Amino acid sequence: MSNPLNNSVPVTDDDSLLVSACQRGNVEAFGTLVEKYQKRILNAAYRMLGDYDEACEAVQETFLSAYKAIGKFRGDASFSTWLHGICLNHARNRLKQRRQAATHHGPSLDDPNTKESGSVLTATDDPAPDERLEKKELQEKVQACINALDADHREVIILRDIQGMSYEEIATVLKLSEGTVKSRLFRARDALRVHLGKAMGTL
Amino acid sequence: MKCDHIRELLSPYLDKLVSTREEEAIRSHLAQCPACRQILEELKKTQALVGRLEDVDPPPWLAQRIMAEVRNAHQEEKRIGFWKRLFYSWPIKVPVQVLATILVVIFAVQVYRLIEPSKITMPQPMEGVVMAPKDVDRQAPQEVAPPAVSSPGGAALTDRRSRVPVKPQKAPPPEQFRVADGSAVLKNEATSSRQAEEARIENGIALPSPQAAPHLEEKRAPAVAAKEEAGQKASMPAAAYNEDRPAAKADQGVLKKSKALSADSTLMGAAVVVPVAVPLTLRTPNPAAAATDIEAYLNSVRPKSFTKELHKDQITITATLSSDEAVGLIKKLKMLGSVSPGSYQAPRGETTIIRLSILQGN
Repeated sequence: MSNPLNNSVPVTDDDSLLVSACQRGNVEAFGTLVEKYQKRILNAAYRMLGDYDEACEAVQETFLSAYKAIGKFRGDASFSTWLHGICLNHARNRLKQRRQAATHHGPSLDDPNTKESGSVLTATDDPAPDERLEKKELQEKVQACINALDADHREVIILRDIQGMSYEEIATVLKLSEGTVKSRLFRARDALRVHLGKAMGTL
Repeated sequence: MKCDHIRELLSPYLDKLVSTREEEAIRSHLAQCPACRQILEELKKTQALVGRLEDVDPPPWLAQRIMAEVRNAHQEEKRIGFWKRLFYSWPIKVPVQVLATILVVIFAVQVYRLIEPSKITMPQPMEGVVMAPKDVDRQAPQEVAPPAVSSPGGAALTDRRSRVPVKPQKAPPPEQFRVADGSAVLKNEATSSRQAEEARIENGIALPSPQAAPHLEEKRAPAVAAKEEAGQKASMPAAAYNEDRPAAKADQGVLKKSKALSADSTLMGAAVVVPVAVPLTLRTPNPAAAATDIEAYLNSVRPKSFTKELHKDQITITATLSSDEAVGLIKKLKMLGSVSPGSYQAPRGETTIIRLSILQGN
């Protein structure tokens, strides 16, 4: 069974050199780290939040927080892992704010089966003839289903099935035990399976 | 194995993270369970769909914007770091606001201390002049007192207070004396100022009274007329600095001095009436002991003012007393030695300035 992991970036020792330089006050060394990880972090944020612009904001916040906290980075975990942790914190906060705001407004972005979430289609809609469009719509459907998950479930799926992290890494990022990661991942995948089934008719 | 249990294992099974035993169990169950097979298939597809999600690319401005913020934060840290190092390396951890307040208070106190002595650097006439140069510590405070003509009450008392307890409320505000309460006050002030001036000039003494001088200039004009006893003044200061001053001259000086003192006590006592000045002489075998005795006695009486001067062959004690107190003092003196004049008559209730010279002898 294949797992195309199109988001993996090898973690090298260059990171620790760059981090040390930053800790010693070299701001430009941080720039190198930004260039290296911005795409990866953006995608994690985007899949978490479901909104491109918001994801960009979250990425800025993530890197700024990381810079301010660089002195505290010990190197127990990789820089990438540490950065993901910061990113997910920011994403979680935004989701919480969104939920709180949603109680005053209408239905949220997160419900895949309402027209509010824009491009969500059900199985009964006419499929577009163009393959590219179909692909795009499919992707949007999947994203919509991810949006429908609890934040906890979203996190593990993104880290495992999009970022390609090991259970161990996921445990570090989320500060959980591997056993918890295992069971949470099962529940997340199962929930997504159900949502996708509804959204697509059949899987 | 039951379906539920198997289904839970399907997720790690997909990740190839089950034990060999678990794998065996799953395979054999799946062979017999279409429902679980279905679920496994759906899980696989889910994973594939998620995996096939395409990356989004960051906008071109994202990295630049991030670095701009980061550089700002860097500058901020440097700035704060400078101040932190400045303050927090101190052994005492003092918050900045508290520190600022403390510094302001210290500054204010320093300023106050700089200003305040000027109140007491006014010339007081003869007292300062007649001092024998040697007796520094006794007279130093007195030397400061003399210049304080304009606000003698406060200052003189302040200084004398260190030697003789004086009732604090006897120090009227200086303003009283700048304003002409009565011409007598002004005149007296001017008199003593003039005397002080002349004393200084004659003897080349540098009395500290920079502020007094201009102040005195003004007062001098109206008071010139009142001055002509001044003729004799010259001799007195000169006499003061001669250490063997004959009693006769002393008396003369005493007269002048009494006048000055009366002016002084006028200013101090806030009374318009000029008190009577009385020169006394005591002859006693042990002047020093007598002086100590007298001083002790006067301490208990708490006169309005008190000074004691030591000269080569006499001790001079000056005190402002009520007439009753003066009588009491004379009685005491008689017990110590011979006193001249032998009796004292003054209108009752009036303040008197006693100028007592204690000489060695019988």
